[in-house]
Amino acid sequence: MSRQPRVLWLVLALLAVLVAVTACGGGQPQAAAPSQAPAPTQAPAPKATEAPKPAPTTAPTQAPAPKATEAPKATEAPKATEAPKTTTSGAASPGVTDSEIVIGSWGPQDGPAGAYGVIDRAIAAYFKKVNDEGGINGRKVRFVYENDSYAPAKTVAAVKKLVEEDKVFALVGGLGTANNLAVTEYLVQNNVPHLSPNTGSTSVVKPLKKGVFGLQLDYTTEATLLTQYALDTLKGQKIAVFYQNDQFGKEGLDGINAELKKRNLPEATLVSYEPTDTNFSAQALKLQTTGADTVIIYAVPKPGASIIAEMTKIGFKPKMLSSAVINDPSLFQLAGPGAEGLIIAAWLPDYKDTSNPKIAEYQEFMKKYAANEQIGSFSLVGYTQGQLATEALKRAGKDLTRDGLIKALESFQDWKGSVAPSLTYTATDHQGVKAAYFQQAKNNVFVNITDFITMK
Amino acid sequence: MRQSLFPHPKSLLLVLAAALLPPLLGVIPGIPVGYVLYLVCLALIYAIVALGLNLLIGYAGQFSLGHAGFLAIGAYASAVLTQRFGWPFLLALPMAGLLTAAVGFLLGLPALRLSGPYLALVTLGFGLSIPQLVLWRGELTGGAGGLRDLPPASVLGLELRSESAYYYLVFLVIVALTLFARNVVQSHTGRAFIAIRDSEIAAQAMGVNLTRYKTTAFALSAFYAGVAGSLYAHLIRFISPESFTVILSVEFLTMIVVGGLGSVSGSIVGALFLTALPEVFARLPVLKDFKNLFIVVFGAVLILTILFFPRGLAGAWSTRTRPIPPPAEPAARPQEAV
Repeated sequence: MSRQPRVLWLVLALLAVLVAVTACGGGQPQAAAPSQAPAPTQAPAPKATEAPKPAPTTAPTQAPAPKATEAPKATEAPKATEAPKTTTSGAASPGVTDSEIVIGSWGPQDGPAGAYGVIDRAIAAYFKKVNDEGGINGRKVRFVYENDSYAPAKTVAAVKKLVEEDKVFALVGGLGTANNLAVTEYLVQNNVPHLSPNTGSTSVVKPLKKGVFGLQLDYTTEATLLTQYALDTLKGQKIAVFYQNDQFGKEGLDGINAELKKRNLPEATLVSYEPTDTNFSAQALKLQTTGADTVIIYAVPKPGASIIAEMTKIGFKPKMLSSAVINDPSLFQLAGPGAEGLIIAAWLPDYKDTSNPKIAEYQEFMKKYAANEQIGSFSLVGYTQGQLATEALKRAGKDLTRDGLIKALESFQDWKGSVAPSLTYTATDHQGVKAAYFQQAKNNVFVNITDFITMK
Repeated sequence: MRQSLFPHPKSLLLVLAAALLPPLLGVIPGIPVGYVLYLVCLALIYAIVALGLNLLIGYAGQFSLGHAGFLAIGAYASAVLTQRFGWPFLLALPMAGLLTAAVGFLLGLPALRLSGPYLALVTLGFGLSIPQLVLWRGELTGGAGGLRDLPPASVLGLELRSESAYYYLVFLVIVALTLFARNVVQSHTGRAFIAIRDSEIAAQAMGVNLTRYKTTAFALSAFYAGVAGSLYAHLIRFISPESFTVILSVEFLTMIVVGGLGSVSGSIVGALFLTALPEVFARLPVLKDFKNLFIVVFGAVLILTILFFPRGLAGAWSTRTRPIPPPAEPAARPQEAV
């Protein structure tokens, strides 16, 4: 074949041995190498405390049984590249200098889910406002947000960059259920607090994780609220559920059935659809034949609107409640007149309702700091997250540490300072909003029909 | 056609440099080692898929838009085997490859009767259906919620938790698979692939068994994607159906076109190039404000490559650096450019 195959093979074999040796020793020698590199940037890294640090801090808070699988991971010798970061959890916090706090986030800025990108841009605008007003405890906030195009593999890269290169103090935002699940363990291990991950899925915040604080109404809580409202206020007798056959739909379904079980009522009748379905006439008929007088919908906008249209077509007019996920501008066009009377639970007030002083303030802010962005529910979410983070950082005080930030958050007791009407965190409950406005569709807009109602 | 195992002594240096990457990175202050190595791992995993895809498209001339599906099968096979059935990673890795190869073999059967756009459609449908199957078998695969907290890759009891340890694993696998691909290409099988690509009728007339070699090409290509899937699953340690979109299949295709169709090194170059490109773009001070610019550049790169480097980046590189054999060059060109 060639003139020097033997030499090549020899070199190759040597190389293989070399690599094998390095890889096997990977656990220890490498732990030494990289920890030297970032050291200069992180002033006094107390080496002795490196390894044991993450264990005691994470273990006690992870009480619930399913967490058992994660606890031992944290106690193991820290990864080579992570060693330096974990050290800093106690003494000198990464991302905090005398004049600056670095906060990070990720979300899609392009691609099919790019519309969500406005959330991060709104948070950035909010921090600009905070900085213009003098910053937080004398420090300015530097907000770094990465574009992950909604792909979990890119989210992992983005978060590693934020933690290792930008050395963020904490994350605020961070969008997508799958994207969150891909990085949550890494963030917990590195003791990086994560405020208000942008997902309605209960699975990110629960079971309790140190440093992960949910903000928006999760699907389980939302479903519980909807069920309580259907039974107590609407006096529904028989509930049927139309749900998407996936994690989202099932979380809603479980919430509904748990509430029914609590009241010793029979389980709801279930009609499901696959995310790929396009025709819903069969499901509409099935819902009608169940004899239910109340239908709760856990569907994304298009199928949700279609089932309403189909039910109207066959003359089935139950009381309808739905997850707020359905609230898309296209809903009323697709669902037609049948959507009139549909009830949803919203955790934020309507972004158009300027009679609410907080919303007036938000619109004022948008004009001044984000004139190019749309006034709408996404930017309102970002704005609210900025408010939450700012308050938490203020409460954490001048001596800013990650543990201090977590303590500060756990001191939130019925806090009314943000657009979200009330916010409470405790050491055992990191789910923020547990209440909602009930809104009803009237003449193709959702209007508030109740005040902020808390879960019973 | 190149003859030696490594076409150029320089590639050995390259391999050596790659082996020393993690310690080298560790020495430079300010480099976020974990982040860089994670990206390199991801790029190398994509490169493994690209290697397999290039065997299929670049050599055997069979089209596939479904390689994200193969990647998903490998990833889920490995994840389920290690997490649900407690298999050791070292066993699950080849098993994921073999299982995927079996599926690839089956997909190769319709390829016997189809070609061109029809084959592309079949593979596209295959790629689309895999995430649906994952949803359908929700109790095994975790459904739309995905599988999380996958056990970390371990070799002989040693857990590869750090990025640098994982890098060596991926590195070893890709070195082995590159050598394997090179040998396949230069073997009887590789020549049969090329014969089929250039003319099925002529190949048949020469005694090449179409059934055998087309299914082999699919199975081989799927094997690469399956192994890559296993490495992917244990790198991110979380997989969900959303991770394996058609866009990803298209990205794989772009990688081999940009890198060089019918070139083993081109697959790797293409994968590294296209994984690094968006990261570089996100760092450029002014350009990063143009949100979708990267996609435009992606397209531009593809068009420019096809216009000016029909043999891809690897082809462009080798003609630039090695202008040695003038008589052989014109003869070799038309063959490789097909």
